[in-house]
Amino acid sequence: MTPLSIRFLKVLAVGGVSSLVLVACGGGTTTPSTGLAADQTLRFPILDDYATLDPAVADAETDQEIGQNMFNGLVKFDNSLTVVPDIASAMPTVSSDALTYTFSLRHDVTFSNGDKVTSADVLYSWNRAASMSGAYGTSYGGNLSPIVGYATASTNKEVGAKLEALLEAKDPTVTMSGLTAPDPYTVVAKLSAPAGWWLSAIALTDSTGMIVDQNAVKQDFDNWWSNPTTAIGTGPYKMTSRIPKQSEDFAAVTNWWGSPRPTVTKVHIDILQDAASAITAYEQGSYDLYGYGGWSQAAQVADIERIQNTPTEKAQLLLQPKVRTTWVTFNMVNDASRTGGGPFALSGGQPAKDLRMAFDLAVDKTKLAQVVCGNILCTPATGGLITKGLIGYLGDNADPLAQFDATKAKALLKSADPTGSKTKNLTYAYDPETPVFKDSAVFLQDQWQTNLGVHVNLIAVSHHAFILARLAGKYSISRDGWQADYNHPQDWFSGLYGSALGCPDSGCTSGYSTPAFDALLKKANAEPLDQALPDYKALSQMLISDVVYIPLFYSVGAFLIKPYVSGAGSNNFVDYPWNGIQIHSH
Amino acid sequence: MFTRGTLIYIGQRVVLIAFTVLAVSSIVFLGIHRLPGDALFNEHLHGDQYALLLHHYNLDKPLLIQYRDFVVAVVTRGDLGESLVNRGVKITPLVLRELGVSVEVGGFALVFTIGLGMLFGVVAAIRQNTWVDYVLSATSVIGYSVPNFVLGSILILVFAKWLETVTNGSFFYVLGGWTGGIGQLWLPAFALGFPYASIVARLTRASMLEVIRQDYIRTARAKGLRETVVVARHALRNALIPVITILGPLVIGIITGSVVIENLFGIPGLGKEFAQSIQNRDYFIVIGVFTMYAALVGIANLAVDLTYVIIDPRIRY
Amino acid sequence: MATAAVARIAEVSAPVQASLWSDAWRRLRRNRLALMASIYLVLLVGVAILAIFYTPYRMSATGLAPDYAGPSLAHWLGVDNLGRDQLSRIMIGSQISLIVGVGTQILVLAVGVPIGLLAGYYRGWLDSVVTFIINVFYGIPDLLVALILVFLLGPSLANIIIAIVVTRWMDMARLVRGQTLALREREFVEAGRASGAKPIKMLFGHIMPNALGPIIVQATFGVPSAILFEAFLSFLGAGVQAPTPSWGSMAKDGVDAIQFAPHMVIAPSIALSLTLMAFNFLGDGLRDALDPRSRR
Repeated sequence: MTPLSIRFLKVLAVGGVSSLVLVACGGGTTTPSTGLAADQTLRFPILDDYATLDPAVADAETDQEIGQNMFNGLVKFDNSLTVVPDIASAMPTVSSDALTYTFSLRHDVTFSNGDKVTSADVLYSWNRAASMSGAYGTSYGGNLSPIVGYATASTNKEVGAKLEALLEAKDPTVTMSGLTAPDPYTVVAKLSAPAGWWLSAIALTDSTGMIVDQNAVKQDFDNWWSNPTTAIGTGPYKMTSRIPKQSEDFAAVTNWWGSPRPTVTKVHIDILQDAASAITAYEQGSYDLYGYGGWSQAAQVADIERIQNTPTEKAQLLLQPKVRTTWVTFNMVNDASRTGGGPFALSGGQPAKDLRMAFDLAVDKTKLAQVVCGNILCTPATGGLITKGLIGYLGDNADPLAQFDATKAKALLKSADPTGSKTKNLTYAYDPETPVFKDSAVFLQDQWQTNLGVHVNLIAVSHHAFILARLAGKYSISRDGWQADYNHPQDWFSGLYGSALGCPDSGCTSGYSTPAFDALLKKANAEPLDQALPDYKALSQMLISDVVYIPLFYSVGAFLIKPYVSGAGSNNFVDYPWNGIQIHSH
Repeated sequence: MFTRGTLIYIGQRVVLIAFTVLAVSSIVFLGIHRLPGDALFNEHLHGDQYALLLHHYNLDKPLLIQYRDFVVAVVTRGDLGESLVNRGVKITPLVLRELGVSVEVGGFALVFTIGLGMLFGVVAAIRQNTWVDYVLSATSVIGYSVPNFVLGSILILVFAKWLETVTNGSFFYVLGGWTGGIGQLWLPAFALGFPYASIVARLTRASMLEVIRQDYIRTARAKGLRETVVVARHALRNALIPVITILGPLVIGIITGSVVIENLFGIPGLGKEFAQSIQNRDYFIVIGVFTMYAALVGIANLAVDLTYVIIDPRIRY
Repeated sequence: MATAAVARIAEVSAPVQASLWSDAWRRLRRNRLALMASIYLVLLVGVAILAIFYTPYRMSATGLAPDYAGPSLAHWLGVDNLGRDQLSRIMIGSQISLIVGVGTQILVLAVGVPIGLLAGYYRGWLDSVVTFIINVFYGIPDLLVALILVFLLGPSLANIIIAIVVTRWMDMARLVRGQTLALREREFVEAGRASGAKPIKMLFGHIMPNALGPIIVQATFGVPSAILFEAFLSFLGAGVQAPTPSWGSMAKDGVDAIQFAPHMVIAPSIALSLTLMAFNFLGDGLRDALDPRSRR
């Protein structure tokens, strides 16, 4: 997702509820029949420490999975991904011109230190997030961009205690003028233009729409969230201790204002390095859950297959499709700044397209899902780039690029590259830290060798270098992928292709953009969702007919949940929050 | 025992250690920044946000300026900086804590190595050419011919899975939980130390065999001293010498091996931190870990050299 | 006349060298373990050469059998997590292990021997500098430096070899330096110097041949050490990259699946163990054979 593109996000909220039902497929446990355990301590491992819990800055999955239990916004996504009120007592009233949103706040919301939440806190939190987005370079500051005055606040360059002083003085350079509080329990937001996507943006889990306590923040503007005494939020849990990169502990807030009231009183999280040892520890009984905290996609196929084949454990396994698609991207533009070169560029005309098609048809996607993830941790991507279950999914087997036809592939190769000179010395680049990326690279190389007779070299590039280099256009053919931030096709298209994003030369993995694509995307982004959907589907067709990608698979997350734990689970985006979990006697 | 000469020697060595640590940190500092990719970039950042982030962490300053700031901070405040990935985490307390963990595991492994190794070696020597000798010798050879992570994972399989009902995880290492108790260190310490125990066993056996045949032992036996006394008092002390000789490389080997073992068992020590931080391009942590390791190796070498002084009073520096 | 005296002295010392070698060879032949190790290593080289021309299946062919399938008639060592034939990969892996093991030692010899010779022969400031550098390198944890080097240069076989050589050359240099220091006092060196022989000729013509025994032994022990090092690098993700199979990376893949498909870890582990043991036994045998004061 890109903050730039959020501007173009459209109707998602109340009118789009029906389409959200598509994503309602979440998974959870059934309630065991025994009573509650005396020790309500929940233990689970995560595989890397969070980066930050400050909602104004957080952008990693782990940050959000933990932070969602500590912070609330005016509205939130419930377990079936419907936008519902949270700190607001009801959904906001929207003016007829869709420019003014009026929120009424609940009167009983408190921070974990007892401070009462008023509209002043909302103004402080949102102004803070807006003014930090410019100075700190945050990923989701743009969630607040429709508000009048955001443009001013986001150009702020002050940081730390200085910024806090400005916020306290309500300095105009860090204040969004469109955000006002007529009384302690009412917030009025004036937008600069209609933005039907805005409620979803401020509902985004543990993000810039969340409310923080100024009394706590001002004690350490940059690191208040890392210290249990100042990590104050409105959520049902608060941090009680932390050993960085080793473990953290949380405790339930007594008399929490929201519902359901937390049953689990303590949460203990260990940071391990390795999925296999985490799973072994879970099986030994050291943990009650595995996969929580943003690590459901890290398990090895071997472990999951083994658990599936163990009758006593099989019932504890929850496989939940996640909103991530992986595909192969071609370098579509050869120019001075994109050094990847390669025979696949658009400028190569029909032969280049035939070549892309040949490489695509030579890959047996069904076999890939079987060999690389045992058909458990991923499923073949047969319905387009947008993951199954999200708006914009084309339908099972609706993507012609997902087909496998070795004969046709060889024929296309022969006509496009009769001497074999174009496909000599090709190299497929990938980042090896994720096992499934490495395994699919090996598989792809074999497919192209066996079904096409073309030898493609493999190069493993460390992830942090890989994403930079790929965006700079250094690879002629490489692994690509996307994990959705929210359920709207705009997240995908505006995040991946088109000159508005920066293609071909900046911020674009494939370099792909055409005038037709740009025009249609702009149109679709401005429309309400029901009108935009056919346009988004047409954009998908453009990508397909231009053979811009080779679809590989949709990811599935693996969770392990002990039979005595109820209320745990996950939807496509996030874990079910901790306050719904109960530990039964065992 | 510690003469003036020895103290001067210690002083010289400490200076050498400090210099080496500084040199190593500098090289790593400059080297790590050449690594492609960095910790801060992610695909959500657009426009000039990435540049702003770099600026926020002073990563856009010239490398030499960054280096100067780093050296000043370390020398004056002992401040190794902050993590780039895990915001707000101060590195000095982090690596010190992890150093303690690694030293604990490594120390336990060293005890295993020397204790078990010498035991095997002595028994094999006394029972030379019997089946006991062959079994122990074969075990030793396998010990240093199998990578320690293979040995470690077999141990995990056996003790953490198959025998789990018997041991209930309490006696042996409990994966995932690290409260630092000695009881939890057996598995990783064993996996870490066993290859070196095998080397110690072979050395001990060889030197024991030499010593056992020598005249003064025969004399002691002839005098009627019991076998065990003969062994313990005379042979053992001499057998200790080759072990002390390789103690230096032994300790270095254990430090090296601990990087792999920590990653396998999920122990929150320096080795695990290093592997993770290199992957994340978390520069300051990598430099901090490296600095700790360089200091550790230097101090270990010095300690080993000093044990020579204690063991053999003839040695003077 | 002086030259005649020198020549006689040289004659006297020369036969000692010749008989040392034939003596050593006799002793080595009698060492059963070393003999078996040598046979195994010859077979290993044979397999490595065979693998250039023939393996039962292409080593990178995936999905040949259901993932994780155990040994069968079609796949004697089973298949791995991507359905690749383990036997073929073990055969190719022998090439990698031999290249890493022997390649690193050749470079270590090329770097360590000259440095050791020069430091030991000239002593003085050159020796101090070299000793200082050696001590600094000893103060650096080798696995960490190798990791950084491999990440810096890229994970190719050549870079791995370079990384291992950079972290392990000091052992050879220190040994050769020690040998040179001892040998330079011997009479034939004095004689050579008196007769006006050039230093290069002294070093490589007289000193080095006499130090050859320990050098060979050190190099022989260095091979399994390097192979093991590559296995460690593979475990930490810095080993040879896919799809090239090294026994170390195969062992790592096997460890990941050890509960589900134990056969995956057994084959490369045994291959590694046998090869490491063979080199170790050979090294032991060579040391016993070449060292006049050998222990029994």
